[in-house]
Amino acid sequence: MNCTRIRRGLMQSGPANGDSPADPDQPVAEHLRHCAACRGFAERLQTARQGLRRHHAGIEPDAAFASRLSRRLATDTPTDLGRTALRLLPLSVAVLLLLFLISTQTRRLAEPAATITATEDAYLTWVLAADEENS
Amino acid sequence: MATMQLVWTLTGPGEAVPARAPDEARLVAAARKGDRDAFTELVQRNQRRVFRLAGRFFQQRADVEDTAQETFLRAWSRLDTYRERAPFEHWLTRICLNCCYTRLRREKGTLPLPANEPAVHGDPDAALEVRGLLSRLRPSDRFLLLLLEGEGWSVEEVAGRLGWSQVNVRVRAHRARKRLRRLLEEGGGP
Repeated sequence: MNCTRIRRGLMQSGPANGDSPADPDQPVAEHLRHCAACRGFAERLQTARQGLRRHHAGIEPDAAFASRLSRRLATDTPTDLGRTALRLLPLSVAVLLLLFLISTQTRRLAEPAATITATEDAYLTWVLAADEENS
Repeated sequence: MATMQLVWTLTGPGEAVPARAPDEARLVAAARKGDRDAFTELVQRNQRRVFRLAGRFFQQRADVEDTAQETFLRAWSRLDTYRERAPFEHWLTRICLNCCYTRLRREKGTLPLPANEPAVHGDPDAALEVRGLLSRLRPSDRFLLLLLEGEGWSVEEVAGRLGWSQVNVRVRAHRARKRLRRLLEEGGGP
């Protein structure tokens, strides 16, 4: 076995996988006996694992934590706000859709009127021009 | 195919698994109707466990307390989504872990040193070395390694508690361990 495979194996073993890094397989143990670099790696890994297990703040909640939180619940009222926002969401979407439809329809109705006006203007121009030609 | 049911709690490895309190359902139902006192009772029952879990990822009291507050506020606002298929404590674990993960990622890799209080129990030099090692890992790697190596949870347990797929956890765990291996090979380990 080469060093990379040994180290990969050591990384995969451990308490999370039901193995103990202190009791490696026979081929691994044999390799570690002869390879100082891997032995150093295994020692560093074991120290790191112990450190990770001990890595904990150990902080307990103080007696006033629940009451502080209770005050925040009263002021923030995320439940009420969240529920209201969720309830109003479909209504808001419906109102927006309705406004969009109304604006589209209004534009459509306004367009022919503009056409008529333009036609009338053109007709008037033509009549005036025709009168001038006939006069 | 036999199905495996995961049994897990917010308790530490050596602690006894608490039985489901008989009036928990009543308190949850009352809290759902907006009863803050009932929810405060649920907070008091679970606050030590939430602090214990948050303390795995954060070393300063302010961070641990903020995470715990965020956990309970999120639980309060999402009580409607709790289906009572598992104990309240399990549901709270998932929320707490998600809060920790979000907060860790927001830190963008920084790991502040504690001001006055001792961060880690035991040898202070070794503790600082572990902190140095963790500070060089990405927040997502740190999160997974603290669950796998720190809490001693298996991939299946992590997946179950976070609501992630086992493949997702396995891939992330592989990457996190690979980065840890490189750091240890560089001699930067403890």
